[in-house]
Parts: sequence; structure tokens; C-alpha cells
Amino acid sequence: MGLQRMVKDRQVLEQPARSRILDPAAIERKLALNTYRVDPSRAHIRIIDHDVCLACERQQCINCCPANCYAPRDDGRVVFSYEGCVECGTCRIVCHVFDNIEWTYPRGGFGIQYQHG
Amino acid sequence: MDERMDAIVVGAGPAGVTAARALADAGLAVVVLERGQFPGSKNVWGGILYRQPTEEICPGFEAEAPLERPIIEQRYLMLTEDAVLGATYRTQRFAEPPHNAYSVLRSPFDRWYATKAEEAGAEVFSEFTVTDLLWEDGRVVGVTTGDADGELYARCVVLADGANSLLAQKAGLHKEWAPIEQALVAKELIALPAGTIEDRFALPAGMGTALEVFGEATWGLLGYGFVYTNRDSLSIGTGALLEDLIRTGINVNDMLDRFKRHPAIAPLIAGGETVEYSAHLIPEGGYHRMPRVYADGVVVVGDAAGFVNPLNREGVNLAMLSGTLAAQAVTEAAATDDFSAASLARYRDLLDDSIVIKDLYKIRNATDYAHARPHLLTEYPRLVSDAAREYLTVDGFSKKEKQAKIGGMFRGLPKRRLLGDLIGAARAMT
Repeated sequence: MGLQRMVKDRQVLEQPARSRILDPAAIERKLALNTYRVDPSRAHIRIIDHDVCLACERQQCINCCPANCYAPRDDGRVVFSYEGCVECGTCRIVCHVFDNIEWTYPRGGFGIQYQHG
Repeated sequence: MDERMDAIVVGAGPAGVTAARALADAGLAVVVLERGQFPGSKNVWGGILYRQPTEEICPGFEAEAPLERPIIEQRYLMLTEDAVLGATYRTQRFAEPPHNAYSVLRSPFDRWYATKAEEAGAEVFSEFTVTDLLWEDGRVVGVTTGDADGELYARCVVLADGANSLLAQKAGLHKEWAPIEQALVAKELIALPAGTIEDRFALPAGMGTALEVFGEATWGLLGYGFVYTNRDSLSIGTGALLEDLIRTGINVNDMLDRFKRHPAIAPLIAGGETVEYSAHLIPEGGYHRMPRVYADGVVVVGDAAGFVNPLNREGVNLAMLSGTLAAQAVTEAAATDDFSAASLARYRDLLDDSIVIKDLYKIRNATDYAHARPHLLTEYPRLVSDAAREYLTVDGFSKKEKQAKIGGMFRGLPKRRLLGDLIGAARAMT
């Protein structure tokens, strides 16, 4: 009983599924609570070559970003919006196969400003 | 060149501020550059601050620092889908001074802590993002913000730029982190009245508890969820190694929301209002994956060097200690005016003799052990939960029949794996 269920769960987990964030709207609601000073002149993160994303089967930037900054486009490419970014660095590390993200910190004083941390 | 600073510290977190303060105390000219609007505005943690190591480095901090609640109790919980198993330790000794630990919010704490470096004579400048290092004859001689006039020179640079240290990479001290070396944690701060918190957690007025929660808290992945009581809010979060998030396709916020909905957790946070959402990496590469922490003209401290003990939720204390030791090595280097790698190697020697490296060495195999055994956080807890339910359910079966039923549950376990788990645990912990 317990064991069987375990095996079943593991199979579910190990499928190389192109899973997606279950509740992206929940993230948006939470981000709205945060304090940001958005730099209108510069996106601190950039997808280097959008065509490279077509070759990336799982597009883990979309799954893993805790701020839902990456979204799939109908044509299979990925769009990035930096306004809600919490500057964690996850996307840069999960894109290690293609190394297709140019990642810098926002200019001094811009970006997320945690009031509690 | 004579107007060079003695040291530039990049990052005004606990590691950088501790280093800056000690260097200023030693009479050196120090500048701290912080990219946030104020020190602490980019920083996140769980967060529990231990008193003794903090007192060692910043005597008298309890009278001044913004602290939330003394932690008098530790709860370890293991969640299955429908059940909770747990162990609690509470002692009156933790409720009386000297306390063992406090819940703390990082942004106000770091902001306060930076003033201690300023009092010692260090200059702290916020809103400066260091984008690169400056080099001269193969050694680091300063930093730049990438703007015109953004160059600043010093005899030594202390990199305290956190979990995501791009500068340690630029210094050639380590390559990009691998997904197995970083955990991602999402956290919410949930506002609740102080009285409600005390009622729900059965706490004396003003006192706090810390819950670490395994199993379903992380969807069965290696990692843990936590609930810490602040004065009038709860810090709740959960996270896992990036490698496992990639493998399973789980988003860490979905994991957090699932944790919040668990029947054992939901009543604790019911009616609370989320006031902030944060996410941060934790460098959990440990001893085996530690980068080099010094080179010509540069040392690396705190999270930037991967000084985190995930097993005992220590990080800030190790960051502060590494800042102290780095400052000692840099001060000695200043006395002989030798900031070469050979001279700054003294920092690594000091680290080796401290709990920073001793503890990381002690737990060096713990993550690999647990990571290779996902059943520890899923299958075993389910079995124990099933056994406990059987034992506690009064339903007309004789105690002997019950015993046989429970024994049967455990007999299904593969014996060799069980033995391997036990031997592996003994090896990983010694």
C-alpha cells in the first residue's frame, strides 16, 4: 500500500514533463505586495538569443522562476519581464545547458527593496 | 594612488558589515558598497539569529538590535499528505536570559547592523552596484560600478556580495554554481496579532517558537519548510535544491502554497495577511564544493563563499565569523603591506581553525547522503504514520493482531536498503 503509492509518486515526479507553474496568478498577487523601484531605462536580465529557447525542451526558467518573470510564447519562444524580478539568480543557474541568459544586478538603488526580508 | 582606501567591502550584509567594522576598528580606511536602497533591502533569510556567536562579534547587541522574539522551543515536524509526526523541545532555560536565539527580520536587522560599522569609522554607501573588479598586474586593485567616475581603488577588496556572487566568479575563484549547489527558498511574511500567535503556538507573552517541517512540506524533496514566530507576524517558507526543482518541474511558490494549505499548517496561519513575498538562493554546496576564498588582493566572505550549514540552519553566524577572520587576515596583511594571495592565505588558515570549516567538514556528506535517498522524506514517514494510526485506532482488533499488522507494514521494506540507510547515516554524520 504505502510502497506502491510511493512508486507511483516517483514515476510521476520523474517524467521529464514540461510542467508549468500551477498558479501563476498567486505569484502575481504576492509580488504586488512588495516594494520595487523599477529602473525604466534598463532591464537587468536579458534572454540572449530567443531562437535558442526553441531547442530547449523543458524551459526550466519558466518553471523555476519564483516571480513568474518568464512566460511561454505561442511560437515556442520565451518572453521575460523584469519588473517583478526578485534578483535571486535561479534562471541563470537553471539555464546552464544553453547559457542563454545575460544576468546582471539592477543599477544601484533599483529593483526589489525588501522592507522585512 | 595614495588616496586608495585600505579596503573596499562589496555588500552590506552580515559578513561584509562584520568585516568592515573589524577593519575600521583596526584603524584601516574602509568603504562598504551596497546595491540596495539601504543595507538589508536585498537580503532574505528564514530567520533565526543565535545569541552567543552574535554577542561574541557584536557585544551588547540585544539592547540595540531590532529583534522579534526569543526562541524558547524547537519543533521538528514530518508531514505526510494527511498526517503530521513530530518532536518538540521546549525549555524554560531558553526563556530566560541569556537566550539561545531570536527570530529576526533581516531588512531592519541588517540596516541596524550597518550602523555599527559606521560607528567604528567605516563609510557605508547604499545604491552602488559593483559590476566588475579592477585589475593591475594580475591582482585585484579595486572595483567599478560601470559608470564614468565609478572606479574605486583599494589595497584589498572583500567580496561579501551574497549567494549569487558574480564578483567571485569574475575574480576567477569559482565557476558558475551548479543546480545541485544552490537551494531556492520562497518565503512569506504573514501578519497576525501577537496574542493570536501566542495562543496558537501556546507561547508565553513575547516568546517564540521555530518549526522545521519535512516531507510533504517540500513535496517530498530534500529541503524543509519552516514557520518562525515574529513579534506580530509569522515567517513561513519552503524550498529545495535547484537540481530537484528542475527534475520535478515544481515551482517553489506552488510548493509554498501547498505547504500553507496542509491541514497541519493551515490553522497556524489562518486569518493572517501576507505583507511580503520573497525568494532567495542558499548556497548549499558545502565543504566539497567550496570555492577558493582568496586571491591576490581579494578575499570572499559569507554566502559568497558558500558558508552555510543547512543542517543546523546556520548561515548568518558563519557569515559574521568569516567576516571577522577575513578582517584579521587583511589587517595583518596591511601591517606588512603584502596583499598577495600567499599573504591572504592566512584567511583560509584562520577559517580552517574555526567552526566555519570544522562544521562544514563535519556535515560534508550529509546532503549527498539524503539526496540519494528520497524515500527518507516520503516512504518512511508514511510508514510511521500508518503504524501510528493503526496503533491509535481502537477498532475491536486485539493488541496482538495490531502488533502483527504493524510488523507486517515494516516487513515490506527492502532490508538491504534499510541497512544501507543506517550505515550511510552513521558515515555521513561522523
